[in-house]
Amino acid sequence: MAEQQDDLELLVEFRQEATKERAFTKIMKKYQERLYWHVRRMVGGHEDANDVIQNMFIKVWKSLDNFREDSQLYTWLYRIATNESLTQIDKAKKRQSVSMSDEDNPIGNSLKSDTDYDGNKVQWKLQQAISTLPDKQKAVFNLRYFDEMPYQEMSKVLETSEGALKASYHHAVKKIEEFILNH
Amino acid sequence: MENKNNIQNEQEEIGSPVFGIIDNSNVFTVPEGYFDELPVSVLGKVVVQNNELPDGYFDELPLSVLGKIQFEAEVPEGYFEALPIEVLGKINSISEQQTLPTGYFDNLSAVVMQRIKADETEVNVHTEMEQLSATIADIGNKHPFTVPTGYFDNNVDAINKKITGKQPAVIVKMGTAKKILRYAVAAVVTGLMGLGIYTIAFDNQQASLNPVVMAKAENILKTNSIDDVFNSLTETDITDYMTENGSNINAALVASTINDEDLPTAEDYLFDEETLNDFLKGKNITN
Repeated sequence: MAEQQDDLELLVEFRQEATKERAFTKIMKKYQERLYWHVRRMVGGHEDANDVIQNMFIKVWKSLDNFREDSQLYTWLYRIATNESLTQIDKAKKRQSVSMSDEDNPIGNSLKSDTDYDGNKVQWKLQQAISTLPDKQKAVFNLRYFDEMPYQEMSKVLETSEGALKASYHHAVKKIEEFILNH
Repeated sequence: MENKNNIQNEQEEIGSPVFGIIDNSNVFTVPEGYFDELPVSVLGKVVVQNNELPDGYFDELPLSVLGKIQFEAEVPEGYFEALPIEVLGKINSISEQQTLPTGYFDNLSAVVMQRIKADETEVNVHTEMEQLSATIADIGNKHPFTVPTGYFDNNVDAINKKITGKQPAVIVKMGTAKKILRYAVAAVVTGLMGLGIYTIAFDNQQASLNPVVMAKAENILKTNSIDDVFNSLTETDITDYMTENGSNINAALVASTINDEDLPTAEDYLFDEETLNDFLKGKNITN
């Protein structure tokens, strides 16, 4: 909640022309790593994650003036980051379909092209398994397991009921487990 | 008696052999004549208790009570005058001992709730996964990704530059086709610029370098900012340049579309003056 207090102060600073840029820089420094890793886990590669995070912050800059404080800043940022990631994944799928590729998992391909990729490592296998999930379910699993986000918060980020999120998470776990055991 | 018989009948119906053998008679006894003496004994005790009060007790009771009240109500002289000062002094003393941060109580409940929630989440995510899938729980939730060194330090500056830079920020990524077109335009413009700089830099009559243009060119090379220069070009810049330097366009196109290896050798030019014309005809380029 102290974090929320800080955010409110940052928003006040942002709304004053003299301190606008400084406040925005503070917001970026505060949230960029958390958001980057969330985006990276969604889209797979660094280049795509970098594009998403930059576009996302540019959108935030443009619309932060209109941000209504009926939700937390951090929830709002996560929502934008998630939506931008989903858009990026859609684009990647469209590119793949235009190139007539048989492969239907562009994120999985992106993981394999990572210079650090090691298919024998279980962490990479886990990422491969996650990449096979439907996009929104992927977001649910990542937010819960890696970001350790309470369902209540996630419900605001993904605009879905807590019950549906819990069910989705449980399904995701089962699918991932199955993938890992069979690969 | 009838009730007793009924109960015996009921036990027989249930068919328990034990109750058939043992009857329900009372095994306990009391001292002889106990029930005859009991009422007298109880009444006697009540009378004794009533008689223990001193004579005139109830007559004196009100005075006694009032006397006690008055005694207890007595306070030292000036007590009430001093009381507010004393109380305020104590309040101030407590305040001094227990100074709290501003807004402490406003935030307290929220802080407590946040800690509860954080603890719950921390426990839940891991225990939840252990219950759902031991396989995934064993892997843990550390991801294998890395980022280039210094990425997060530079990223903020990069975004700030895009947002607040003087040049309009390019938000939409260019498609591949657009990129190729841009490189093609850049190649043509490079040729044009190259010829332009050459033409301006060398004064044909004085055969000397134009120092201003050369300094600019040198600066571009030094700062490796050729890409920035091209990025800053607008379509209008290109059109204006072509209008002003139209005579160089064909030459520039030739320069940007011909492979060096296809060019005729110097000897060919010298021995046959038609060599160049033939070459250009072969490339379908005419004046």
